[in-house]
Amino acid sequence: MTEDMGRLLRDAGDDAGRPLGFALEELVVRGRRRVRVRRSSFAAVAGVAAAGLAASVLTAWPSGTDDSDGSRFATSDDEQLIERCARLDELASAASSTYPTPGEPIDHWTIQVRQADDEAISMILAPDGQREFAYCRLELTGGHAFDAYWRRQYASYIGAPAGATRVGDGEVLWGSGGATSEKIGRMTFETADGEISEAARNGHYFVWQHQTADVEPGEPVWVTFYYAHDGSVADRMRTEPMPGPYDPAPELPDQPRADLPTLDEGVAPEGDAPADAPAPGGPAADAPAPDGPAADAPAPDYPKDCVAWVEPDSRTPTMECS
Amino acid sequence: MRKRDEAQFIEFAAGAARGLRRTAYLMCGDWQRAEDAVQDALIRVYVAWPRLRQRQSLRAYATKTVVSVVMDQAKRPWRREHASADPLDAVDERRDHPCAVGDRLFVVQALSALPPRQRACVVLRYLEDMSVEETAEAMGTSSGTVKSQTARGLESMRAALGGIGSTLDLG
Repeated sequence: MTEDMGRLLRDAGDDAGRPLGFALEELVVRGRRRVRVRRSSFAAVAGVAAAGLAASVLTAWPSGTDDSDGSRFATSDDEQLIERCARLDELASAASSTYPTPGEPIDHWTIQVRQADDEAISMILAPDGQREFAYCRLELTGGHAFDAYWRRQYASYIGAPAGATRVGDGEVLWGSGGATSEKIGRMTFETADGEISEAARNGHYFVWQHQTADVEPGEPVWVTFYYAHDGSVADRMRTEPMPGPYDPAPELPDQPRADLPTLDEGVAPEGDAPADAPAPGGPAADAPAPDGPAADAPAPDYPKDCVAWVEPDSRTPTMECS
Repeated sequence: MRKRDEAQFIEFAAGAARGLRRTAYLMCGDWQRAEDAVQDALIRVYVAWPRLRQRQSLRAYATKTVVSVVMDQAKRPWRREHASADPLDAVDERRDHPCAVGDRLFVVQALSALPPRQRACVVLRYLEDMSVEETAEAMGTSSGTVKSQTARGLESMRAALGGIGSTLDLG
């Protein structure tokens, strides 16, 4: 059994001689930088403590890049929103460790779909041609604490990851965004308190943002996909920190439930999506499917997956890229 | 770090990186994320190198770090991704071509279905060939926990791989 399992695992993990996608010398450079950052971080924290300052937010953005002026964003001001997301993209590019060449700037991309509340706005941005897209969430007050950003090659990113960020003593901001097949007409998200809310959708893209007061960030979120053609449930998946980074069979219900909501009961009708969400059938709706011609276009250098978040035990926003 | 130490680190990383990537891949089921994890882990090794270089078990430390990075990734907000193709197309294909999924992918999927700690135990014990004690040390847990988690993981793997068990002699 031991030998068999070992052989199975070795075969399953056979990389067929695939070379490493990174240079070891780059690791050394990054390692040196990490050592420097650790030293400077310790010094900065010590300085704050010595000055007796209150626990104000220490931004993790590179020095001189915090362009917050304290004013609120208008959720309908696309130019301002895109500019802010483009800034995050630049920061992500600079912070990325496995992104050898800068990507195409996103300042000419358009907002495909958005969802907002009083504190934050979540968006999917994409260029013409649908080779890639970006998820961008901005804190509407102009700060950075709730900001999140990542950018993906279209064909490689299908699914509904859900994440959570604590934004107050009891409040948790949930969010998700991405792309699905156009066979999907709508999606709902159910948090652990049983509350069901609707994702905003446009064509392939969706985005979801929701706040809870009684649900901890580690709780699972259930995502239900409904077919566009008849509104029936197409899939239901559970997203949570465990049991793993991806669901091996997302097309199958994790836990079949007899009381799954349908289009006629239990959840808000599609018309209740945020008023500022583009109507279905917008620009992205005419774009090719993931396996269409656009997916064959040369892939940009990826991954470029960056996110800023605030850990529950910290007020320091952090940006990390992979 | 001195130049000589950096050269030693590069030599170590060159020899270990692909094996670590394989371990990470079996932990997360995604080659790209595995590569990311290896980079993060090796950078941690670099940072710790001055206090590690006296040790004999560099590889064990690096493996432990990879496991830690992968498990941290899974917990992190916004990284709970579903790397599969279109779920609907995938299920259709499985229905139409039940044999189209290769055995390797089947094994990786069965492994990915395990809870993270069971998965780590199986990978460390049977891929890395670590002892129960070494696995416990790498995971920061007890030997008893490793034994029970490994047993459960193997049981689940055996059940999941039943379809190919006849050819793979899982016992």
